[in-house]
Amino acid sequence: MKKSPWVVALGMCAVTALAARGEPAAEVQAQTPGPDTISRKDYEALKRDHDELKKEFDEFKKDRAKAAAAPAAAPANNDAEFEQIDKTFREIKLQLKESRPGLDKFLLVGDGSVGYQSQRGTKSSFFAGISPLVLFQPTDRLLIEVGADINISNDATGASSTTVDLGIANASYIVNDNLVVGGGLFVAPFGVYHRHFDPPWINKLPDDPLVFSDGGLAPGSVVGVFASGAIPVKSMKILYDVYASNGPNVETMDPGTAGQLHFDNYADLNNNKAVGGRIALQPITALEFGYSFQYGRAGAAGFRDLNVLLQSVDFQYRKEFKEIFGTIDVNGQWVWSNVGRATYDPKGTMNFGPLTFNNDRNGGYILVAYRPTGVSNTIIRNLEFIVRYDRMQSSQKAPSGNTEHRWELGVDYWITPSVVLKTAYEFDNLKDSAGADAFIVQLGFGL
Amino acid sequence: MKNSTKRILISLTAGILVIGAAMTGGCASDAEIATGKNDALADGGKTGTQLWSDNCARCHNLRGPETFSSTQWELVAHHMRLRANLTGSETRKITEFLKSAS
Repeated sequence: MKKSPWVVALGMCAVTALAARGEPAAEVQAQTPGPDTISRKDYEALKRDHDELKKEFDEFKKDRAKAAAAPAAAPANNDAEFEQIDKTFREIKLQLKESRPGLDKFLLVGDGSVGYQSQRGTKSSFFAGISPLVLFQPTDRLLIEVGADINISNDATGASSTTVDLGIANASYIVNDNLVVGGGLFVAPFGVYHRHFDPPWINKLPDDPLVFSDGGLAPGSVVGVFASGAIPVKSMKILYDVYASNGPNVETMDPGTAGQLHFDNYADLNNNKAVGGRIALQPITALEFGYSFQYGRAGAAGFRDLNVLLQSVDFQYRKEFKEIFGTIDVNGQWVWSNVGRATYDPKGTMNFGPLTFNNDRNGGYILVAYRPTGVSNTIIRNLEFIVRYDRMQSSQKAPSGNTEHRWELGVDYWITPSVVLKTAYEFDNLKDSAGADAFIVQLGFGL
Repeated sequence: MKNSTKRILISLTAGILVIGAAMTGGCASDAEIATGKNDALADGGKTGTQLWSDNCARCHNLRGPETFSSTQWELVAHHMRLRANLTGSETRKITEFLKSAS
């Protein structure tokens, strides 16, 4: 486009006017790019870059400020998380524990003994035995018990052998505070001897009372079901046990034991089960007395069933008296055994019959022990002095009918509360091999 | 013994079971079995130590709390509850004492 002379003139006037106002030369020069100046375009670009950088810097400062404030809140979040993790871990651990087979609720206890016996008319001998008892508690309510008696013995020919007899194999379930039910092979709650005093570390003498030994009057372990418990009545307590089990067998073949009962009847010979139980009272803590019964029908191969009624009364008392510097222990039990009338060896083929009789037997024991628990001397305090009177009477009509009574004196030394060294001497009125006087030493221990 | 007498005995046995369960309120819950309701007032207010001494020493020497671990005492207590006809509250108190001292 061609410039008009008016425009040129106007431009020159403007330059002259600016010069007249005295504007600095540099400012004038700034309007025109030079080697030390930047263009408007570059300036705008730089300004834009600067604004962007400033914006980023502000954002960076904000982030940093947030980061600086964050540590104050973090521990609280971490604690809560850790607590939750710990809670979950504990729950899983508990679930695992509850679902395990239960090895931490598994316990081996029991008892055993070693000893020496010298009896008139027989060879003296050492003896030993052990009765391990396994306890397993799968739940708080359920307990499984398995126990065996392992002993060494010689048979009639003199051959040595080891016997293993299962004595306990049962499960019990807690119904409530006053009732436990169960079943299996269990110690019959007939009296208290087998349930309370039988183990060698509890029995103060090295042998059993006559009525609770082999050929005795009372059942030991039976197979069946049971219920037991206790009911507090004011300051007293009533104890109860009831059970139903396989009935006993009756001996019919041996003239020496005809009419006697075998209680280890693990397979009943008839459908008549034995029922029994015990009810007892604890009027004061130190005293307990009870009554037991068992009724059933005893069977034998090829022999008609007989009525069997067992009854028993028992008591126990223990108290420490300062006047005599020691503790008195007294316990006893009496048993009546009635087996119905029967004819044994009816055809005389076994050379002792025919013999008809009721096998009515009875017997019991009373034990008194004194331990000087009030004496300061340790050795004397660990001694215990015991006397026991035993009696068992059989029907005089039976082939083996007799009356046996025995006095037994003993001195114990308690090495620990569950390890005892016992010595005893028996004075027996029977002078045959089974009932002759005897001296016995025994170490009894609880596992 | 006649069959009628036998039936009476069996009925008596069953009756004791039913009455026993009824007197005590039937089957208790797991929580009641584990902790009890009024253990502090039960057994004449006796402590676990007293009950341990009274009940266990009646038949045998007292085995110290250190004899078994806490878990093991629970099994032993259940076993002895059967043998000695202990109540639930007696068993819990004795067990707690033995566990706390073991």
